[in-house]
Amino acid sequence: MIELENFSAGYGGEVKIRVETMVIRPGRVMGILGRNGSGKSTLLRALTGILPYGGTARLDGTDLSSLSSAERAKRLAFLPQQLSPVRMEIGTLAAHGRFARLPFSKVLGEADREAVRKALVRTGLWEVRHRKVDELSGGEKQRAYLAMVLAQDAPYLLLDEPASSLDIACQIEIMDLLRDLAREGKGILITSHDLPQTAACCDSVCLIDRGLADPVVPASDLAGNRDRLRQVMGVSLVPAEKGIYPYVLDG
Amino acid sequence: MSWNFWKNNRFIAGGVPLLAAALAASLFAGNGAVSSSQLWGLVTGRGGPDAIRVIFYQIRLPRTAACFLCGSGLSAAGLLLQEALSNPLASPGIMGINSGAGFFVLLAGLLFPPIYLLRNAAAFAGALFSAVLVYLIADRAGMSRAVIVLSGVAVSSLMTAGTNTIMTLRPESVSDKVGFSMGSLAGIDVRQIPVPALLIGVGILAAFLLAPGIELFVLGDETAQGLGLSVKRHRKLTVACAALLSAACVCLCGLLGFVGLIVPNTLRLSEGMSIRKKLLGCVLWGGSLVLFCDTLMRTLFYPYELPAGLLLSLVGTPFFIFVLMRRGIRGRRHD
Repeated sequence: MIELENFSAGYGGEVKIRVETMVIRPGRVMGILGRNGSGKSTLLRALTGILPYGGTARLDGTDLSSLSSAERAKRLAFLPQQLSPVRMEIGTLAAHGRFARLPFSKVLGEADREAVRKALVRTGLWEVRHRKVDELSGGEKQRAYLAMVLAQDAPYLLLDEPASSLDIACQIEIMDLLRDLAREGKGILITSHDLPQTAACCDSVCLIDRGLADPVVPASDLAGNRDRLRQVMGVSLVPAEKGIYPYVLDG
Repeated sequence: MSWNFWKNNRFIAGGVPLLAAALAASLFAGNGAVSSSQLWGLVTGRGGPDAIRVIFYQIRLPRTAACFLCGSGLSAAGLLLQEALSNPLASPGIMGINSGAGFFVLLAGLLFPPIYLLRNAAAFAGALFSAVLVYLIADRAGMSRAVIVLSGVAVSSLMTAGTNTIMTLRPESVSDKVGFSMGSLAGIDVRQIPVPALLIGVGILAAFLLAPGIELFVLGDETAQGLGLSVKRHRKLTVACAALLSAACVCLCGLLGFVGLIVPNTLRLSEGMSIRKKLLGCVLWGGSLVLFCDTLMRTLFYPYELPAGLLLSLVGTPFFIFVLMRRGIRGRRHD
């Protein structure tokens, strides 16, 4: 479990995000909801070690800042929002997920190949593993990078808007995959600005209002708190008559 | 072996015979003073006059070794810089790293006694100084491709000005002015070789160890950090390794440019080569390129000899323009 307490992070001394307490549990999907620029990505970057942070952050009891980059990557995988369309085979990209686990020679062993194969099968890319990433559609590229993160074999996944740039069918595909992964025990943190989707796919939700994180609430309670939702997101949720998500937006 | 294996490794497979041919040409090319068969006879045990022996072991062999070392080292340095800065136009020549090393070598020559180890240390300090200077300027001005190249040009001009000042005020500090500024392997002394050879060997070995991490740079800093790479530290180490390689080369061949640009960009034509394979390619192709250039420039116009750097500039400048037009100069370091 990842525990944050009096946590703050930002760029060059300017605090962009404050979290009083937050717990990310294995087997659960937590959604971070906020408008653009609210500090969602900053939180994920700080947890990955890209930005420094203040306060405490513990990963299964270990102080996060005491871990080396490689040690951290074995336990916590991160996927940023902007993914480069690199000129590289999907299989090679997925194999990069093993980086932190490779021995000094950095040569893939049998177990590494098996983990990469599993990740590619899981994301439905095994058959097309020789295709180049820069020739893929947005949804396929997202899945290729997800395969890389899965090959990393970390118990916790931090995904920055994993679905936001995709068409709706691809979004549902990705969210289903994340639900399956959580069922298998992974602790998943995703950022989003899609209210109905987050309410439907996450177990718990944390609203971020201009750099300040609200207490985490169960996703089922999200729609009930109409005033707060309206304050933070500018819109709220009402139960849907029919459709794929149980709630729809209300202006 | 399947067809695909040869296709994917064609630069390595082609590089081996190429290097063998380049080494043979460099060692055995005849000129007005000595013929190929005389030199060949010496190696195959038929013996020969002492003069030939001296030419072969004291002049030819060190020069061939130096050509191979400089070609490999400068190409590898270019590859490291291009990968570290995600910029195909970066190279030790253009980034001012060579000229920084050159300036410091001359400066050390003025201030301290002539010791080869000291020369190498000064070269490394100069190379690192230039690299850091370029990095600081580019960091302030935004790490775009154009900014990195332009700050390289600025630092390079500054270092060259320093070099020219020393060469003007103290002409005796360089024995071969033209050779030093253009890059030449004429007049290499055996005693000059061991320290740079060791440094280039260490540098290429270090590059092999850094390679898997360098591979992640192309994914972007954030993704690479998420995969467990200390991106900033790794990038600094990569640039330092390039500086070490360039510095060692400058001590042997002066300011030989364009090798670090031509070779890695040629290897890049073959997609899907890992950095480790590209490094091997740099050793094979870079070594060959300098060996051929040097051999041509000393045999074509015999008894006159032109610096190898002259030919490299003649070939390299159009190549630079080609890369510029093909890859473009706009765009940030990462997408």
